[in-house]
Amino acid sequence: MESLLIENLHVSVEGKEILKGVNLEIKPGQTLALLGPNGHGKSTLLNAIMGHPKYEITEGRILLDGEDIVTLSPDERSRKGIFLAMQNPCEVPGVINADFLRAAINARREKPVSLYQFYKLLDNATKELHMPLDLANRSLNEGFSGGEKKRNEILQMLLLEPQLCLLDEIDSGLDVDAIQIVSDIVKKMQEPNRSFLVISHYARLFDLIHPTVSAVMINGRITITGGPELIKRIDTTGYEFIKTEYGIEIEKEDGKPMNTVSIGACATREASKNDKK
Amino acid sequence: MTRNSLKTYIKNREIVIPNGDNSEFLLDDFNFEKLVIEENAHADVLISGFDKDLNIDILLKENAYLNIKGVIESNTKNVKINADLHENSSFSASFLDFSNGKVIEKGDIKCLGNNSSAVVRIASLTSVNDDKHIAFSINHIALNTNGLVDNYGVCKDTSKLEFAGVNHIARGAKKTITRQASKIMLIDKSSDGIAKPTLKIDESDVSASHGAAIGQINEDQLFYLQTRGINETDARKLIVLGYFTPILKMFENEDNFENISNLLENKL
Repeated sequence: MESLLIENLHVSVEGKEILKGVNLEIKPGQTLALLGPNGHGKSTLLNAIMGHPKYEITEGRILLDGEDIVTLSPDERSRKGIFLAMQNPCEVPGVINADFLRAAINARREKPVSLYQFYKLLDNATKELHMPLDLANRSLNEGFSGGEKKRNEILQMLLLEPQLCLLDEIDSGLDVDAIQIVSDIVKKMQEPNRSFLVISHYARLFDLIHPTVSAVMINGRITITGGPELIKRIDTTGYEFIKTEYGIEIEKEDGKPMNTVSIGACATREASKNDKK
Repeated sequence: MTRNSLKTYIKNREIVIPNGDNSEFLLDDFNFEKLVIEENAHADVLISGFDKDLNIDILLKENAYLNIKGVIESNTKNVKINADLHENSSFSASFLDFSNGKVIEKGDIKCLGNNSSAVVRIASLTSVNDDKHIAFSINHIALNTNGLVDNYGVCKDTSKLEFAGVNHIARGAKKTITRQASKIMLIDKSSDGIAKPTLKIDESDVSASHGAAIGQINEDQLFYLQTRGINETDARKLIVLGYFTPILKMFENEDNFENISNLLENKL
């Protein structure tokens, strides 16, 4: 991979504009920490790069090694080397984890991987992540704890060997030991031809994986960029300095109204007036 | 798994599994009307060549156990299964339904004896102009009986599928636990799915539930598989195959399991 270049990206979800002109570049070998308050578009950016159909790109370009990938489907983007570790990985009942992993590996190979080779890869990867091998025989993410789901995301990243890794709050739900294990794998995978774009709210993960650059997203735009020192500053002082030093008013996260809920009963029993109490 | 053919057990249009017998059987001859499992007998029956109509009465005597399963194939148009369960008996049925055209499948299971139990699982695939009505029902008449009917359906290509089973708890059938559930996945907008699980409850000291879900393929699941490089067609196939897994698992120790899996994949 050479680079990811995002130019003036505008993204809407259900008619509401979330990203309002994002400009960002990730060079090969870089690990970029993406920071910002909740609800300002960080996950939206990652999902838009991956091609989630819910996220409508209304303007702008996403250039991967010079090629605009905006019209490509999510599987085409994946086969070009992009991987998204999701914030909330969904469950797919009945789809066996191992079958799914093998299908994903074979989707990017001309010759399918042999069963022996696959199980060898899987065995090594599960050992690195301190995951029991029998997790591979369960339905994809079904019944997994939050931590197991996140580790399953990293397992997939290990096996698929992408060139651009998008990690959306991979540390949420992980205990201290698990964060160390995941960080060790990220560090092992950091190399000149592989880039990372990492979202986290906590300095601990960044202390372990040593991002080379950082960017802050406020109000759907990249407001400031910098190096690792920016992460430390935000961890210490929060985002208030953005208003005082840059004059940018931080919009509050939308208070979404509750969904309308109907509650009904399938069966009723009328109490007779003569019922004894 | 080697199974004994039930052909040799057919006498006067009845099959009787004797007292104390405990074996795996192959049902490949439909020239009978009644299947009797005698006291304390255990039978695991795989229906083979289920490519014609089936109408049988089943009787499970005290402490009898029957597990019956089969793949309902193209030419079957009518299935009628009645089962009477006596004390402490246990009935389990699993069917993969690949029938075509206008099809009616009905089952009436009566828990007549205390502590009897019945579990019925059906996975039905409908396609091009199929119109299927499937209604497996359980009647709870005795004390402390259990019943579960679990229906799964996948509809595509202008087909129609209706699940309409009724679980009934009679007055006096205390401590009954029963459930009737139906899930239908619609692959395209031209298909029609109807889920009508019904409970009729005439007793207070019981536990009864029903559930119905009809919908299209979950878009988040589709996106998730695609983000791993699996194209949309293969991703949809994986999700639908996964839907059938609870029933497919019932066949995984059978010699023809690979044929069954391939048949399902081809139909998808």
